[in-house]
Order: sequence, then C-alpha cells, then structure tokens
Amino acid sequence: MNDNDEILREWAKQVQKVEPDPGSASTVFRRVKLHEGQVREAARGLPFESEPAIFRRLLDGKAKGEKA
Amino acid sequence: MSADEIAALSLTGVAAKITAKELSAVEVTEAALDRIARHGDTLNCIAAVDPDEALAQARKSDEALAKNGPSGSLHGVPLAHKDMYYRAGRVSACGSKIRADYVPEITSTALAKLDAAGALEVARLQMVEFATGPTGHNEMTGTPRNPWNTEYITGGSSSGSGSAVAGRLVYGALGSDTGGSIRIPAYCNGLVGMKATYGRVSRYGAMPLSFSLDHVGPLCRTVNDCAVMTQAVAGYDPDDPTTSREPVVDYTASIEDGVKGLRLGVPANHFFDDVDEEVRIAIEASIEVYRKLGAEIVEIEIPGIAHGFALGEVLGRVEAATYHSTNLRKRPQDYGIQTRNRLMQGFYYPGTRYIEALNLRGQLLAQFTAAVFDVADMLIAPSVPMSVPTIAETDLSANQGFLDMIARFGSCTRPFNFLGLPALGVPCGFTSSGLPTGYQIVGRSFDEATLFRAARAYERETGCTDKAPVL
Repeated sequence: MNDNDEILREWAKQVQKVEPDPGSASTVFRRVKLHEGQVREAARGLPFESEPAIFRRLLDGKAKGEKA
Repeated sequence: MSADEIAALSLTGVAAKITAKELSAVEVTEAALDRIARHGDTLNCIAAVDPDEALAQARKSDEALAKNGPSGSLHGVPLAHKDMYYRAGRVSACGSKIRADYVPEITSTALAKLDAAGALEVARLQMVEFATGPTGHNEMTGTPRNPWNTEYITGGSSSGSGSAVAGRLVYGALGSDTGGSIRIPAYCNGLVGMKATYGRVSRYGAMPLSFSLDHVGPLCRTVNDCAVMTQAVAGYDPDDPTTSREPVVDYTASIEDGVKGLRLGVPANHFFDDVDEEVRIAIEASIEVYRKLGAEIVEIEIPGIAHGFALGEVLGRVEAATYHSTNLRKRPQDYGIQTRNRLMQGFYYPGTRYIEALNLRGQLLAQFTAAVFDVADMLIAPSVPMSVPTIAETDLSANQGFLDMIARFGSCTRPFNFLGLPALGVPCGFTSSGLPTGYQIVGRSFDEATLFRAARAYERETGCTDKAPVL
C-alpha cells in the first residue's frame, strides 16, 4: 500500500469502523480510485442535473412513444 | 412418459399438457423431484427441497384444476427460485451464513404473482452470498456447477437458477440482476433471461442489494417460456413504490411476428473493445441471422457509455455497503472473504461521487436513447465478453486479480442496470470448450415485447435453445 492508501485505510477504520483484509486492501483501493476518477470525469463532461427523478420521467416518456 | 422425458418439456409445453390433463401436476412434480434427487448434489444448485411439501402443492393444484380449471398460465408447473425471495414463515438464507436462519414475515410480490398464476415452488436455489458476485462462487454454501460441464462456472449471482433450469431440474427460476446476474447465468448455461425495465417487476420481499440497480426476472429454457414467466411477475405493485404504472402488454401477442422491418443497432464502441474472439464471431454470426431475417443492421456510436460500469459500480457498492454496514462492523468474519471485500469498496467512495452517479443516470439515459433509439429499435451487445471459464480459473479467493476479473465479467451488463433499460440474454451456440455462448439485446424502456419478438425469430431460425446438457 502507498501513503494515500494508508490514509484511506486509517480514515475508514476511524470513521466507518471497517477495514479491508490486508491481502485485498491495495486491490480494493485501486478499484475505488479508478471508479471514483471515472465518475468524476463523467460528471465533468455532462451538465449537472440536480433532480434524479428525470430518470423515471425519461423511462416513462419513452414508453409513451416520445421521441428521444 | 419417463421422468426425463417430462423434464425435457418446455415450461409452456408442460403447462399446456397439465391444462389439457395429459399430465398431472403430481406427475410433473415427481419428475422434477426425481431430477433434483439424481442431479441436485452434482450440480450443487439446490439450497433446500421438501418433497412432501412439493407433492402436497401438486395435489392441491390437480384438485383445483379439476374443480375450477387452470388458475393461470403456469398452472401446476414446478419452479424453484434464487434463495432471496421471501415467503412468510420459511427460511430465506440468501446464500449466506449471516441469514442461515432468517425467517421473513412477508411473501415477495414476485412469488405471490407466480402463486396466482398457478406455479408450484418445489425448492430454494443456491446463489452467490448476498448476490454480490458474477461468477457463482460461494465460500459459505459451495459453488454451483454448470450442467454442460461441471468443471465450469454457472455464472452468478443467480448461480443455482442457471444450473437448475439448464439441468432440467425445474422449468424456470427467478434470478435477480444488479449488474448482470440474470443475463450472466443465462449466458453461461445456454438460457434465456430477462432483466426487464427498472420498475417493471416488483422487488417487494426480494433481498435488496442495491435499490438503484436491482431487477427481478426469470431464467428459462426458451424465449416463449421467458415471455410467459416475465408476464406473470410484471406489473405495478403498491408495496413497491419504484414499480411503474405503465400497462403491461401481452408479451406473446406479437412474439411470432419476426424481425422484418426492425432495426438492430450494433455498438461501434465500448462493448466489443475487449471481447474474446470466439464470442465476437458468435455474435457477428447472430447479427447476420438477424440481417437474413429482414432486420436492418445499424452501426451506432454510443456516447458516454464507457463510464457506465463505473457509475453503476459506485451506486451499487455504496448502497450495498450501507445495507450491510451493521453486520460488516459487528460480524465481518461471517461473510466470505470475496463478499466482504466487494462490499467493503462501498465505504470508500465519497458521497459526492455517489450523488454525481445518481444524477448522471438521467443524463446518460437521455444521451443513450437519443443515440440508439432514434435510429434503431434494439441494440445487440455481448452479455459476457469472454467464453465461460472453469471454476478453478475463477477461484481467485482474495487474490489481487479477483476484482479486475469481476469487473470484466460485468462490463457489458452493468451499464444497462445503470440505465434501467430492458435487456434479454439469448444463447447463440457453443464455444470450442463446449460451453454455451450468447448475447443480450437491449430495448426501449417498457418495450420488452420487441426483445421477445426478436429473440423468438432468432430462436426459430437457429434452434438455439433446442440442445440440452447430458447429465
């Protein structure tokens, strides 16, 4: 584990009261950082939408044959 | 008919024979119990079975048929389901040690609807511990085996459902799909599996993993079977506020209409970027079948989809970690090591990323529908980008690679849990290992009927569901 991983591990231990298995910790942290970065990038590339219900409106709208 | 001949019938075939009184529910249930007794241990797909209770249900079913006629489309048909669908007063262990003795006080809406359609429930089926993984491995209950070759995985997390239906132990089974867990076992076992639109099937009384991504649906041997079983469980449920009031159409009304005039989209990016050659060739051949049957093939560049897996991953992991947080703190040793580490991820994502992922759902869906459904009626994509691996190859315990392997396994399925769109897993032959391969077709929201129609045309042309494993 690098220093950043150690900070993450200690933060979760203190705040969340959980700890990954020592053998898996670096993999867990690598995946977390990968996904966190991808979501951050995706959020940058799209306008921020503050009302998640748009998701259901879109589903229902398509069902009624509205054009996308 | 022998037990094996009865077991080889399709769900719709056996239902027709029961209704016509050519077979009784008792005879069919005895055949299923016989197959379970002979092959259940080999496949390790049965969590629990009570033959006396199953036969009692069957006798009642025959009595009801004689007195009142069939109660529904599944009258007297023996089914079994992933062990996460609650039935009041009966254990639902969810593939875990933590819930080994858990007895719910409610019955899931999906089971209640199947009951109302006349189906019997003859067993509870193994599953990945708390439905957390796509390969089928379970440290707590043992790993189910693939009936096509018992050295190979069944896929997960609806591992027992895939194995039991393909093994002709039962005619259909409910699975659940949070990142691919219906479509992946459908792929691995040569079955048809429907993950319907988010909100189409009630999740009331089904073990939650991620409320944003969880979907309930069936695994069956044929397209018609899957359409009939989806029909039985679909619809609005006042007990599940996330279900939709959109009317449920008759999925079999247009199922024989063919694909002439339909437009089939083929992704130009993402989905075929990391696909095994054998799988790619099988899907390309399937696309040619659709073309030959009269579908128009349209290549489509899909914006934003590359991040679909990560967006789903953040939602799914955070919600699952929240749900399991008390037990993960108090009794982490009672989880399998892979399950514990998968769940653990959810504690580390910032809340801001979770909200961003949630908010991006609508945006990405708008982009996707504009890019795909303005020019096509459905999209074809791999279900799993690799040929089915062996149990040994994927038994990575907590090794460095296990999370990466899991991510590749779900890379083509999870984006459609994030988008909430309907996706149907369809078998399309076998790879050189003799294991099944397949694809998924994805449709407009609440347009499951077009997917069944297209898959049925493909099935009719290719006989892709005709072959059965020899046990």
